[in-house]
Amino acid sequence: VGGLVVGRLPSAQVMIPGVLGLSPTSGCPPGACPAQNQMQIPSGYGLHPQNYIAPSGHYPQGPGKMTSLPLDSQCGDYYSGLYTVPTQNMVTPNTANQQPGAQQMYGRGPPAPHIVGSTPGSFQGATSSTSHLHTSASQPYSPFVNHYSSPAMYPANSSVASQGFPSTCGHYAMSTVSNAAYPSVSYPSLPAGDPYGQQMFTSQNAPTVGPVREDSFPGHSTAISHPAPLPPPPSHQYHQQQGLSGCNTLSWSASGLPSAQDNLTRNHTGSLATPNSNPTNTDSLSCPVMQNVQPLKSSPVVSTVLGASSTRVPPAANRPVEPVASVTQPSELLQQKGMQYGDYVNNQASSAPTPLSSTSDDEEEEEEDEEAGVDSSSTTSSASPMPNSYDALEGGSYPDMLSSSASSPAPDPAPEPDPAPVPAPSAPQPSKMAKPFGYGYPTLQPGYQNATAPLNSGVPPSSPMYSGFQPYAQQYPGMNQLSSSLGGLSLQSSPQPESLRPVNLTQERNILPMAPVWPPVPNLNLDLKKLNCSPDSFRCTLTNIPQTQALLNKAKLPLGLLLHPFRDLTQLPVITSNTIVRCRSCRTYINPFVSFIDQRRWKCNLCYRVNDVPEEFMYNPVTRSYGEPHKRPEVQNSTVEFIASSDYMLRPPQPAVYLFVLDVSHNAVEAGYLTILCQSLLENLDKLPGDSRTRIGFMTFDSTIHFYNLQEGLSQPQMLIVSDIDDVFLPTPDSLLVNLYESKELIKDLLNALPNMFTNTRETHSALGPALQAAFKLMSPTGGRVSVFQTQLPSLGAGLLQSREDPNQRSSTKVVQHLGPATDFYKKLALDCSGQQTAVDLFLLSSQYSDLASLACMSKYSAGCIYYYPSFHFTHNPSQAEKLQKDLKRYLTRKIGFEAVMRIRCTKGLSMHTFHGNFFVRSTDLLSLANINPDAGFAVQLSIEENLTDTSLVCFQTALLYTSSKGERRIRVHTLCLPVVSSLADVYAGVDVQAAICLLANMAVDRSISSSLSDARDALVNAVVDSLSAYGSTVSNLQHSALIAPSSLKLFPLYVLALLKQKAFRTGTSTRLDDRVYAMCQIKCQPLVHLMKMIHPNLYRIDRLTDEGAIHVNDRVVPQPPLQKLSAEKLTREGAFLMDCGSVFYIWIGKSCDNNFIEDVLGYPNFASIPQKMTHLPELDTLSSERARSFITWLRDNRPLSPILHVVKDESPAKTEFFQHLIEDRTEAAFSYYEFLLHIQQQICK
Amino acid sequence: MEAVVFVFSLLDCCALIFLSVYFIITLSDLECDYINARSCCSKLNKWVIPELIGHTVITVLMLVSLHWFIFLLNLPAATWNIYRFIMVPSGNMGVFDPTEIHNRGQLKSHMKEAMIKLGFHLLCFFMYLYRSCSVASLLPGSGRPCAPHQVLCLPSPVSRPLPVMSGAGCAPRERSYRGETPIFLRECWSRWHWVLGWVPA
Repeated sequence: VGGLVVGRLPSAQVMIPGVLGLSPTSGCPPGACPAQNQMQIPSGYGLHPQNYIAPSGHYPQGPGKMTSLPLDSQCGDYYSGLYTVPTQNMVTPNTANQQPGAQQMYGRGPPAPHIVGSTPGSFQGATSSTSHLHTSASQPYSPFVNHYSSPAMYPANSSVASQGFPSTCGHYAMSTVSNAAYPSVSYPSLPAGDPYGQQMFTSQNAPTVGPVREDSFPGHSTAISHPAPLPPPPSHQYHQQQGLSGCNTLSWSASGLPSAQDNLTRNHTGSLATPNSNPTNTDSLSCPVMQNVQPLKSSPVVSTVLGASSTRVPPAANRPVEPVASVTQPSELLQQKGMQYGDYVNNQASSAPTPLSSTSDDEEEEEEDEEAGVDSSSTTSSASPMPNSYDALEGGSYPDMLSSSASSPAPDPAPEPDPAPVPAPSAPQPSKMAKPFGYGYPTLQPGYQNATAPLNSGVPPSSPMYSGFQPYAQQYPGMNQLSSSLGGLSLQSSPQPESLRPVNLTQERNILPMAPVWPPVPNLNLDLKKLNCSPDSFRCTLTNIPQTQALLNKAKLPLGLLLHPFRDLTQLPVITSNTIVRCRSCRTYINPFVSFIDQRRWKCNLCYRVNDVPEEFMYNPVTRSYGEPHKRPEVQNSTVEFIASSDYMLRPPQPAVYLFVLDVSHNAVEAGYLTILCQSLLENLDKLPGDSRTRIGFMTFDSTIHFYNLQEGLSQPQMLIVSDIDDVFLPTPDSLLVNLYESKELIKDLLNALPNMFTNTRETHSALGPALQAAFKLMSPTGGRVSVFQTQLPSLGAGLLQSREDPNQRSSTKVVQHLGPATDFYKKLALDCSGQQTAVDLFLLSSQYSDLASLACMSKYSAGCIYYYPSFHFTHNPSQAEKLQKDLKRYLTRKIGFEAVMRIRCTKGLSMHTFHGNFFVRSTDLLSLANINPDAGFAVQLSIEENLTDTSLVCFQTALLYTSSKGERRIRVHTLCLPVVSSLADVYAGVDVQAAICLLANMAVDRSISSSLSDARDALVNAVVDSLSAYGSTVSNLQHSALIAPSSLKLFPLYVLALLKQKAFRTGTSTRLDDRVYAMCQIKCQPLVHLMKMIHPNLYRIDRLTDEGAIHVNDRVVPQPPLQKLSAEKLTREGAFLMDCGSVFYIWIGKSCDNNFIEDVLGYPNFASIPQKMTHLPELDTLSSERARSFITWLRDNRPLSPILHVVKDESPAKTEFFQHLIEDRTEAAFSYYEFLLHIQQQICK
Repeated sequence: MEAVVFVFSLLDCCALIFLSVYFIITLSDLECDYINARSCCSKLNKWVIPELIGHTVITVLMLVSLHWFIFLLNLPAATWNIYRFIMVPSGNMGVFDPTEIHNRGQLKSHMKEAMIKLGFHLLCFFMYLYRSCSVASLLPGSGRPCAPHQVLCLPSPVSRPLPVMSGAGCAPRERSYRGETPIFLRECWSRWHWVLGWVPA
């Protein structure tokens, strides 16, 4: 039973544990080792994490208080009120970006994508007006971006921030600084009314009553439209790209923490940790040097911070700056002021009658008011009292403000301290003006009311729900107008939206647009659009949500969400506050789409409950003003991150823990991945995300399991071999996971020795299962990340697998078996791991069948990720080796969140029923994610359970609660708002075809595993047939023989065909089972952008790159060649083409390709001399080479799997690889695109 | 013999009813988020095989004792149980798989299934009860073959010498007889009795 005693490590003593007695021979008795002691877990630490999310979860989405119907209409109104607010706020991020050391690297506000993206999708009818709107939206950027870059001020910021509470832990300082970005931005919006009114006119009127607007505000619109030309769509990418590169340089702190803060926190935590470690110092005989070093390191930093804090800038006058106003003409300004005043008057006048909506709530309100501070949301009894953080926030804000006022081009000549005391003389005019525009709700803050609908002919309230409102309705008839126009009904006003233009698919030869496809913009009013979540993080397959399930069924389109919640963001508002304001019944986080009923109450947009605004929330740290809850950053940004209080943790935030489990059997050594891995690890050891508590460990296995004792104080790493794989145990539980910083030398020694330790191994077996069990045991006290490297089928111990693939069946057109796991061992293990907050990431580097279908389970359900390198060999297959190297770099250094849970909430009436991605669904809407990484995407299917007739907007909110690698508990919240429509045409107009395809792909994967591959294929085809025939039946006037699709769906058949030819679903073409399963895994867990490239690659012609339409990224010109359709007809022998398949690039060189190109770009004299295997473009000093390389680098950036490049010659055997991606062409086993269309047409006519 | 068969079935059926109720309670716990999917499924999977065996035993028993009607009634349900058990994919952790139970409305369909089973078992329960009571009531009789109308025509079961039977088992029937059962109900009963009491010669 005992273990073998084998010393393999050169000159390392080896301990062979029997079944029990395990004390390492070296001088460090277990338990006395400093690292362990330091990390000793508090007693509550190992709590079962099952209820871990208690604070955030467990709140059934009870029906909120639907007090009375008028509430709804008001809700609409208030939305508009709120949403008009912040042109300026968009700027916030920009200013933040200028901070040196801040992560927010690029100058692009969150709504920018919307603005840009909306251009192509905008309705023809309204083009001119929308462009006005866009410019007005984007215009504020320019001054800010230009003028806020006064870096000198920012250091002062942080120091000021920390002054308030030098003794608190790091994140306060951090948050303050990140908040410091706000003031500069929001000041402009402080003069309450003006910007809103202005915004409102344009946005609301534009679609509905264009002429009226033109008449009344001609000067206005011109003034707005001129300053900044509409940015071309590509610039979005440019910015994004830039941001990403910024991220890369900053490596692990991608989220929004200025690097200076990083230091601060680290040191802080370091110093915090020292008290813990001190006692152990005295205990342990082994080297305490490291620990002494740390306080030393940290203290100077702290002291400098303190010192700097004395440079606090004296508070400047609270002078709001108003950039928008500066653009508008004076008369305009006056008018707006007047309006505002008018509103105010209205406000006063109508404040006597209690609003209907609130009557039913009054009693409750009174109760709630009392408890509001305590109960209405998760108020913490945390150490830092509220004023502190506000102080800090304010402190941080001065420099910003100063700089903004100093540098903004035309500050408001007459800054208004407060909207209320508007001079009386202007009153008459405004009241005239305002009456039409203001629909003042009694108790509203003056600023709210400017966001009103245009006064049209006062349409009498059509629905009974307004009846109770009669007085107001009569007084301000615009309200009705507003509520109807709010729900994105501008569709009706424009006769034929572009997305509904019928397209005859069989006639349209070039269906693929020249430029990349942009996600459709939800048809909301402009202000909501600006506030809405970025489509990169959050997309819905239908941007117009059908009102009823019946309507959805009629449309025959999948309804679901595509999420990329932990995306690397370049700017992200981080909010520290004692009170995270949430709905009391459904626990929704406050978001831009809630409505404020009055100053003190807000109505949840998901369950419609009316909640109190906590006292703390009344104060806006950004503007330093009281009574403007609607201007808080939470309400101004649809993507925010909260620093969570201790209410959100069941145990202290875990440290970052990494365990590497490495296959060292003969097969693995032969493949030679160890060299690459160890090299990458050595390079990136310092960049591993984590704080001073970071721990790391290594295990290797063949037929036995080897542990490595890296306890600080040893002279060399110590190898411990456990050969009892039937009952695995940990030889020295304390010293296998060691503190990265304390044992760094030992770790480096080990990594240097590891590649050569097993060179002569004869062991061919692989005991993966037992190794995983051991890893689980090792990780379970803390949780963390396990990275498993496996090169063959596990053949020993628990979880052993048999080869199930029959090579003869690879190209079978009938049944593809074994797509599901062979055993539940890995699934169980994953669930156990998930329960202990451990994620297992699998790197499969095998040349033969390794049953990925079974192995993948360990990652699928523990929220890990899967990497697969077929036929990996470090010398024979250099491209794979290079890919592994790059992937590892990204993998090791990317951001990571631990012990995460994600909850997705949606408006009452909608429900989620199926989730896709790597996680474990712990309860109906709670996804348990042991780890979350920025490359993970998720999909959710939705159904409509109750009719959405009484609402015009639906919202979705994902809240991701995680522990950052710095040991902070954070909540990232995304909120998406979409309109509800009642007609089928509108549903079709809002289809996001890419999202729909990705959701369908996910569903098809499920189907092929649970049922069969052919079922899944049929289902995909049926999806096209059904939706197109459903559309055909709505368009009666067209000839039925043609295959008609709305413009929004025109790519649907093409994409489905692409899916059918994708590795995951193709039949008839020889596909290895593992490849197929890997493709399926990727479909499940890739975010939409990457998945789309995988499904439908992009083809560009690159031998004639020009600077026409090029964009600039980091001072480099990136040419933008048009997209080519994926057909051999586009390939000419004279050309060179680049195909971007997401994880791989192909450059196809035509036979008679221009020699200049070959010479300039490839560096070879002619076609014949190009080698067969070429994976790099040489860095040649020619223009075309530069262009090609910058284009490829640009494509390569911002994707998780760094693509490998293959240069494919026209005659080389590798060209089949290339040609199989030409999905519009016919292959021996599959339709061409045209045939596929005919097939669909046939099916429809049947 | 007959009595033994039905009394056994009765007890078995009781157990199955309790099991169904347990399934329903556990599933609704999961629905309401009181327990997590993992523990719910491991709880339920434990009882899948006992349920399957319990039901199969009744079915086989009915077949052996040549109660065709009851056998045929039980057959589909038993088949479904077995089918469901056999068709569990190799990678799943049982009929209830924690990783899938929240997907594709599986929770709802499991719930529905448990409900249907509960109804079915309740029906069977009364059937067995009736049979065992009627069989038992005839035991002390002259040994004539049981005629449905005879049972029905009895003035009052209370006056009859009740055999040693489980009181609980007889209670419902007693009530239904002692109370003034409407005529049409009796008619129904008589029909049913005929169906249930039909023993192949």
